[in-house]
Amino acid sequence: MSALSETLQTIDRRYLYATLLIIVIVGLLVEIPLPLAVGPQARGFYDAVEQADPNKIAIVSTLWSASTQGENRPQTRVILEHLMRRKLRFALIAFGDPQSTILAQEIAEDLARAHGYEYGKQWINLGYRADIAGTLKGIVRDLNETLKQDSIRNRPLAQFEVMRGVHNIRDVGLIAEVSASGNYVSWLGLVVGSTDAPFCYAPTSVMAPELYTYIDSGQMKGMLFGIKGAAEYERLLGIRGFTSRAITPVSLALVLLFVLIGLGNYGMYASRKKGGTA
Amino acid sequence: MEWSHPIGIWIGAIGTLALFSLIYRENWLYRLFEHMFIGLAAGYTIKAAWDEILETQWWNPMVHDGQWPWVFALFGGFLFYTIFTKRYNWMSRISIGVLLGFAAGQAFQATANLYIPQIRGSFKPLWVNEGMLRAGSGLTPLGQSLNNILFVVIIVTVMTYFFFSFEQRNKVVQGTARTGRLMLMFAFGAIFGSTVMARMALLIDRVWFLMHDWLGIG
Repeated sequence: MSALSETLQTIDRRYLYATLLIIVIVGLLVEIPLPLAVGPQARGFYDAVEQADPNKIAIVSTLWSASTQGENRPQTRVILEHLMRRKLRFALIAFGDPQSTILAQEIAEDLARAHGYEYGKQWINLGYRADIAGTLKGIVRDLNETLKQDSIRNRPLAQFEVMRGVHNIRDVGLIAEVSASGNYVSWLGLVVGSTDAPFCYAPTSVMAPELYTYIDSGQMKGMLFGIKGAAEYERLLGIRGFTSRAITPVSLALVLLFVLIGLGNYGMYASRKKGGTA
Repeated sequence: MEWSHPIGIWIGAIGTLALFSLIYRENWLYRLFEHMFIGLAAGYTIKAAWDEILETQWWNPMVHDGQWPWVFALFGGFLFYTIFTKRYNWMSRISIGVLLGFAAGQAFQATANLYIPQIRGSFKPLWVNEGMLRAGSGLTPLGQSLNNILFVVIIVTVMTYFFFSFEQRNKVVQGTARTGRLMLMFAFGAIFGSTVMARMALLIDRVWFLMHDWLGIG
């Protein structure tokens, strides 16, 4: 017994990494039909897009980089897919990390080809802004004066068809933020309340648990809980993309973690019982 | 594996494998790619700051559109650097003071907008009837009532735990605070679980890149 408890506490971490890698590869290759329930947060996000005013523009704000693209890229993809299915005009804007603007633009261009969206007519990239608070305060009053020009063609916003009738935040029908950071504080603090546009948030899983209070208070109309939220949204859209495939290895990896925590705790308990120092 | 992949896929694959090599042990290849990534990200940020902010919002208006007062922004920016001199470091306080003033004003508005709806939202009816249910909540009146009761119990117990104005000697207060601490543990457990999920998602994204985009499997 003591040998087992000793072994359980001294497993070389590389064996654990190898086990994890095998589980991930098997989970990606073998289709294991695990249940995936669509939660009210993803449903709220979906409904907000469905109910968004088609005469107004949607703002998709991004604050993520390559380091969190495993979660934020599929989130951005499903949101843009839904906006394009609904034929809504949208504007991309990036804060915090300049990688964000090009990564989101890459996804938008890819989907635009499939949906026949034309740059400048149905969508626009407003580019990267370092000053979050100043920019948000500005767009509440005057969007064109604050942002001035787009980031692809560097032309004044007023020259683009997609920006016709868009003067300030009251002309925005939906605000969606995909983020690996706490940018929701700025949106909720400086913009939401000045507009009727619903605010929806797609954070990484790390941030998501602390955001339920904002859903509960009605400040956020919906939330995509990391990769799980993106998978739920794919289900709502009836597509099978990367997250629908990836959610199986996520579940298997979590099961592995439970088992390892259980074994580790058992090892420590058995060792203590025997008078060990663990 | 296809040798005809675009060079970007090859660089991405080699970079991913080099960073994952840390799992085996610390090595020079890992450090090389770590430094490359940091350098790339820093360089990209500087370029983006010039292209998307300084050039379009400051340089072009000042030089091409005749908005010469923008030159004072440069002066204001330089004042920050006086912090490195003993003789003139008092000048940096001018810029810092202006920025702090802006930030304080914005924070005042943001804090009110952020927390007042939450305080309002924490007043919940403990007994809910059919007419009080939120549309699409999917809950029965009894379920919503239990939910609200649980919410109120947790908010009271957790706030009691953080009440440090007097020593908690009373048994009831001690029990309430201990329950609050237990509730916090549940929350930390949920945060830990979702952190693991986030890390797994990042790993799976990279493994899928190596398998699908690079090796052509799956």
